[in-house]
Amino acid sequence: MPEEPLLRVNNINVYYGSLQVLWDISLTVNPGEIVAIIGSNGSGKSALLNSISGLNHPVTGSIEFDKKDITYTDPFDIVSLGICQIPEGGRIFPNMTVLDNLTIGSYNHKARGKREQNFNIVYEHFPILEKRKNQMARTLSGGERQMLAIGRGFMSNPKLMLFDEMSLGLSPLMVNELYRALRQIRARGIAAVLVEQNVRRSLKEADRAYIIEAGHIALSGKTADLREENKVKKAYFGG
Amino acid sequence: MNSELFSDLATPIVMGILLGGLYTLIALGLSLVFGVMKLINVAHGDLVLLASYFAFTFMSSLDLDPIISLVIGVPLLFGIGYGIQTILLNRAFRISMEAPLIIAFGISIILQNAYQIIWSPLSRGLTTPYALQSFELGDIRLPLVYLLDFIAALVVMFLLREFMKRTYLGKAINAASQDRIAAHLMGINTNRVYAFAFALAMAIAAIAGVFLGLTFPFTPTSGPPFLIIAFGVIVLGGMGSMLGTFIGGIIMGLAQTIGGYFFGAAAQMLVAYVLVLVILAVRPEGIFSR
Repeated sequence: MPEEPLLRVNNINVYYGSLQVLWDISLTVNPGEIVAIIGSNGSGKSALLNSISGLNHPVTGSIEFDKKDITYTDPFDIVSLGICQIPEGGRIFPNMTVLDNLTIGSYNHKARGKREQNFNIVYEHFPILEKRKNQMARTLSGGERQMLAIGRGFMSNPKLMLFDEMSLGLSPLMVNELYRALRQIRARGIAAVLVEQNVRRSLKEADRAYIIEAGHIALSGKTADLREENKVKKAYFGG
Repeated sequence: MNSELFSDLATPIVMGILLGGLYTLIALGLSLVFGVMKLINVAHGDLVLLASYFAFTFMSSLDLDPIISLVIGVPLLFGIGYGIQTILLNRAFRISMEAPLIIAFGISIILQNAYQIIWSPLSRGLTTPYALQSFELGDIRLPLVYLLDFIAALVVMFLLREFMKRTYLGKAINAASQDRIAAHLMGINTNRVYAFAFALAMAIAAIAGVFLGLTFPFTPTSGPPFLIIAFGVIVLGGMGSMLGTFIGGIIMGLAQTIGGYFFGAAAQMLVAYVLVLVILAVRPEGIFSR
């Protein structure tokens, strides 16, 4: 028997104001799986993550998480169910200390009890955050901010983490470090959705991928198969 | 500076610093709401006055000491603040940034007229035995209430700081004021946090209102002048910073008492406002903004 997906997005249509940005999108994420969403700028990748996070509800279609309908659930309630988005650029709280940023990650009631334990896990993955814990977050470098954003998200005790352009604008060394953390997160049984413009990298790291073009799903499948697909090769690897 | 002038000046200096405590108390709520919601609550002075009138009523009908009546006044104003934010302002914020400002104007006008009807246009005061006493500091004698104002400001600031630093709710207020979307993504219901922040500002306004009434007489239209003082305080101190508000309050108090000493009582507020204008021209972000 196939296992029940953790997240199931069923035929959603999403608008920004009166402008439709997603058409009939369906997608599943299984427990512990890494799923990549690939597409060019403005193709609707972030809109998809924001629908899952509850920031922008779909007009039609439905979203289920852990067997619950979350289509119209408020974003702050979705967090305690176990979905956490790491937004583009991290969006850490600049005028709070690193420690307070992490503490705020454990704001939802289910995460509070595991706070100390989760602190230790975050510091184990990102020792630099422990060194800088009493510094204001605005003093961190770009890569450190992204680590803080991931750590803060992890503090919410998620079952599914949504990463929006995690590696954008960072050095290759830093990107490697973040992907190493991602693999460790997955080893803890947490599923992940990666939204990336770095196609090569995300096809390498993910188990499955969806390719979005202009708000439609153009192609999907196992990443190993997609890498061999001619269409993908042409569009993203230059032949 | 010769010693005679100094000993003459000592009274307005000490008085100005202590008065700064009262101005800080009045400004803290305004500063908190501005820091969190970027709203200048133009009804703040009138809401402070609501607490003065409540204390007046408790005193005249139940013979309750104004400071003790805060046991009722603080939760009362807290509840009113929570209601105003939930029922009116959170909805107005969805329309535009100007809508809550207009609602705050409306609240201000309604309150001033309600005070006229309920408490009459007469000047009122929270006259208690200790409000009339004075204390000695070296050679100078000052009204005891000024010292109480200053102590109250220190206590409120300490409690507010501990609350913001140590509790989840305090950190959530801080987070929601910095990035609303990121706060949502961290599981923070920002509308509820805004309501709590406004309620907290009103709880502080309750304390400010009592100490205002102990220090000065008030009428139904005393709110706006104190709003303007509070606004001056947070402009001086840099919007939304607590230490800045405290120092801004003291500067405002000093400008008033020292201005009064040199130019006469009629000109004391003029001196304070010229100072605000000068500082705005030289350093528009406030003296202590980060």
